[in-house]
Amino acid sequence: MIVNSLYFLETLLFITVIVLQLMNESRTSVMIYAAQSFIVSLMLIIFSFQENSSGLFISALAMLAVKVVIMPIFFFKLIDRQKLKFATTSYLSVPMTLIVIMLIVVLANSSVFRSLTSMPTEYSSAIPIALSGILASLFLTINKRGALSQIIGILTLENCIVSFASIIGLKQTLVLELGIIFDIFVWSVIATVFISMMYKHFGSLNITQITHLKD
Amino acid sequence: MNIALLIIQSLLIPAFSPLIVGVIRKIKAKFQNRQGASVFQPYRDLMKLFNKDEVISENASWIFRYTPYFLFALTVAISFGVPTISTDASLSYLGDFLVFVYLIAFGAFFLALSGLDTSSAFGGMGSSREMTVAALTEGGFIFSLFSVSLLTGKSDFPNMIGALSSMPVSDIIAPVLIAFIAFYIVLLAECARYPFDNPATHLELTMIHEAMILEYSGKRLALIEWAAANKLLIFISLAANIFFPWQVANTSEVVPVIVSLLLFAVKVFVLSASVAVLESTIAKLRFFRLPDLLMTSLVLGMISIVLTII
Repeated sequence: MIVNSLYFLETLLFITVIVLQLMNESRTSVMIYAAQSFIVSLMLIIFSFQENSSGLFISALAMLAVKVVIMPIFFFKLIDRQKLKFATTSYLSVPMTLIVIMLIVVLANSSVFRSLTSMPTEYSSAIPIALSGILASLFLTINKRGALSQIIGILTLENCIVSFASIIGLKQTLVLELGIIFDIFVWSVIATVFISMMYKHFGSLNITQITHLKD
Repeated sequence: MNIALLIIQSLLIPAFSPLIVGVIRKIKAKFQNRQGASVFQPYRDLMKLFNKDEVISENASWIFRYTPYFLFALTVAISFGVPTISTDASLSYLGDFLVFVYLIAFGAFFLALSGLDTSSAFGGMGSSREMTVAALTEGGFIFSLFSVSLLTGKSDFPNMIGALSSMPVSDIIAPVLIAFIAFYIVLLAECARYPFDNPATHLELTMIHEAMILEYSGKRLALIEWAAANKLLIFISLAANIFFPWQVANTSEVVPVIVSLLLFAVKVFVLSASVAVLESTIAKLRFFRLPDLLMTSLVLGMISIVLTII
């Protein structure tokens, strides 16, 4: 039952990365990011019960508070303040984006990553899909034009790395886990402040329109 | 095979399809803060239409006259191959996924022809749009079912369900879940639901399905409406039982069949409610944005196949 629910959550995580690629609305993208963080937190909670680890449970709760509640609030405030309704257009068209994602899935399942995907863990069948999630979120960061969506891309990458590490059994001490979550929180606050400054200066967050960096 | 169960199972779809339409309308009404009509209103609408006289254009050929009968018969025939409550009581040759896809396409073809037949501007416009959407939907439609077929090594629905339910969940969850999303997009497109079409509109700028049947009235309109409801329930049944095949009975014994029937009702209600919620919360897409969504369905089907093969 636990194994099945972890496979289910890992698949859902991958699907949220695909949906983020297709979303154009900033607010919806933030909501999907919150849902994705909730999935990762849920995975950690399941792992914590399975391994009877209170440290992991605490870090999962901290993740839930920071990534599912606090950070989306920051992003929503930013969106409302700067009126960033549509700021997440991508370089590639939707069909091309989807074809690239499909190629990423093929790559993640190919012999290139065989050493990673054939690791002997309890959840070995979920490794290729977790790896596909990491590569697809890297692609999400590259493919999007808007600064906000690039930030969401990086945060998605971090979520996918956390889930991948959990699946292959890499868990850190509680202090380190909390430190990472704190780091991400501070980074997000700085990024939102930085975005506000960029918007004030250039009047846009579309990085293709920010052409006066020399000024 | 139990012939009595086969007949009961197959008649479930035409008997309950108007109810599903009523449930979806009721949920949508609640979202709009309206009381809404009774969930049985579609039955009353059908009764009213069956008792009405009809007007047929003098330019209409046999295609226009016979398409409603053909469409209704087609959806009833398809329901003989769709295992709703027991895999032991379905015709596997009618439930082959390729036969199913092309029977659905056959129905769409005749409906488009009937739209063109009376030479009305709206009918032609609707038919043109319907054929565009149908052509773009086919890839995702076939691939979503093909991935399940590859996974199970079977091509007919009853055996697919039987094989899938006996496989370990961890081995199938990723491809099946992704294929389900691809199929769900196809369901919305094929059944003319949001964001592809607005089933409640007669606005010439947006209508697809309604434009094709604009010239119909009386009994023939009733048959077309009933066939459309049947099609919706067929797709929902497949989404419920192919992608979530657990506890579908594989015998004709009473207890497993009743358990399967109850679970089937729950799954159908959840999926119908999801359609209603989706229709209440999203806007209809512009026609030129539809290929993107259908492409998403196609690529999700392909990703599912990749996950199945590798």
